[in-house]
Amino acid sequence: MIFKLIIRNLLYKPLSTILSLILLLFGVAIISLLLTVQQQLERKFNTDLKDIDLVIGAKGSPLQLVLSAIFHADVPTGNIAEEEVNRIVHNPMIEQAIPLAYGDSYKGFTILGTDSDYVTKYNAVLKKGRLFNQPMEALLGANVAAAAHKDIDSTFFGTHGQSEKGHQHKDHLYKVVGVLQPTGSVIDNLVITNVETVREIHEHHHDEDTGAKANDEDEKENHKKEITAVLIKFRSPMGLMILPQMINETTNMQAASPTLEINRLLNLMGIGILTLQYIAAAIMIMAGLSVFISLFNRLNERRYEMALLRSYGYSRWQLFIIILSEGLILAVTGFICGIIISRLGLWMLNNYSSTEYHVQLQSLHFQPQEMWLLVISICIGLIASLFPAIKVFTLNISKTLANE
Amino acid sequence: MPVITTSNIIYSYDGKRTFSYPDIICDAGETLLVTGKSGCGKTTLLHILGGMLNRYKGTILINGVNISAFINGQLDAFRGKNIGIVFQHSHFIKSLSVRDNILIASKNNKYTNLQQLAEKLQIKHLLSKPPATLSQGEQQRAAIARALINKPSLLLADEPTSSLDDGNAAAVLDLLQAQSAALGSALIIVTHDERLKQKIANGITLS
Repeated sequence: MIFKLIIRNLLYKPLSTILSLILLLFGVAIISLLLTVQQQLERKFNTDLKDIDLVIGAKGSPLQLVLSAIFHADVPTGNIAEEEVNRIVHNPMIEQAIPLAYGDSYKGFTILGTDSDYVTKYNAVLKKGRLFNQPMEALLGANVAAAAHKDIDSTFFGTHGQSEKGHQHKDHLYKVVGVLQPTGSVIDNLVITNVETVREIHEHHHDEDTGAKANDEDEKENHKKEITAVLIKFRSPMGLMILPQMINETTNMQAASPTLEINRLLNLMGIGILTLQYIAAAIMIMAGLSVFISLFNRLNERRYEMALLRSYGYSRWQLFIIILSEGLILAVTGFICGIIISRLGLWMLNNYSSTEYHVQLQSLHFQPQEMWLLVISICIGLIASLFPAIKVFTLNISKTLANE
Repeated sequence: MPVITTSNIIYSYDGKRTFSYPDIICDAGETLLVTGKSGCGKTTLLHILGGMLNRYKGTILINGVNISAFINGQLDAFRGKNIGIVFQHSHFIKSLSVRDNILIASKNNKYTNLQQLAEKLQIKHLLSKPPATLSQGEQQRAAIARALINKPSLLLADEPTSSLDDGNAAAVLDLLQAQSAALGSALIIVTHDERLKQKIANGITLS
């Protein structure tokens, strides 16, 4: 009956209750959404970084190089000469160097020319078929196979650039030789082939564009020697201290540290996220004030009701708990509704990002930081209802009943 | 053994006004009328007897238990189990129905007891309604049901008829006396309503 009384009291003046609830749920939803997006982006970055200490590519923006070479979320900065790359990658400080050549796509998914080490790096396991070993053989990431409905032995044409509406290389037919199991990393969204395939197609495309004849052997030779980027893993951290500076100062290439660039990006995002979090925190404080004003105003109307309850034998502590519970229920309901709204927001964001960027965000996982948000919501509810509860605790029943 | 016995009750309001009350003895099934002019301390006495005021001198025994020695929490628990109170204005908790207003005063939420009581007080058809929609007479009957739901040994009524017309006043008094007699409760009515003096012989007048 007491619980029924608490709920009925909250519903008796629905407008003020709803206002408090809306403020609370918006505060919680915004903070939760920001926390979840930030956490999932960090997780995504960490998953895709996979022990890559350095990216070598054409000169330009280092962030663009990292975003394009590792996350395939930007256009490449240009191409680099393989000859120049070979001079660097044989350095004894380098444990592993994975070449990357790209520029084409299939239904919006990047076609990446590389070697089998790339597949091993992301711990990708074959679901069907085998790895590529001939030009024009393609291995599909799990998301690509699912989205394009392709299986082994099926064929397709690549498109120049990242747009689905770009020029199709109609005279170069890819054949699917394998499909990978899902890894939760960037490889799920890639069509992987060998470097020679990408070079061959681009060489042909270049000839088409310029009208140059294939017997222009010098130009053809130069083209063959280009790749887009190299992913480097060092034997020791010493390599990271020496090689980037050397590459940036003495070659036509640039070396970018993915960790450094991603931290810079997260810091930039962090300023925006922090600002939004402050705004959400202010909304939550306003929600606390709204709960307080709502409870306090109603308390003045309910003094006689409280005195009546005392006359039925309810103790001061029971009334104290009734008022605290009203604040608490509002806070917990606001938190739950806020989390639901946050998950709905994340689900919509996920739909958008998976369609536009092939980036999947996991929508329903409860983040550990959200426990703190629950604790903060409960504290706001308790603090907002504490003063009204103390007023009820110290209520003089005789005076209240006599004055009515 | 009398349900209630008081001796030498003195209450002082902020050290300025002091009320000195005559001793009271009331047996089970008996009705005691406490009358007096406005401001003579009638409601204060009722609050003292009901355990809602505790800074008084003197002794109150209810069913042989000295409630004067109780502290707040003990008084609340004792009042809930043993004392029913009907107030001058039949206030209710607005957000609850008549049924829930009566049940919230019950220690055990005794639904069967409520049905019998509602039938006797002729409010069975009003139980699901909001209290504000009831007439004054209906509200007073519902307030009596609320006071009786725990089958109290002491029933206190503060001006239960003063705002009612003759017909309703007589009906409410009959109900109070009949129900307290049926439960074996002692009934103490505090009032300045002269109509009740003619109907209740056992009384004291405060000056």
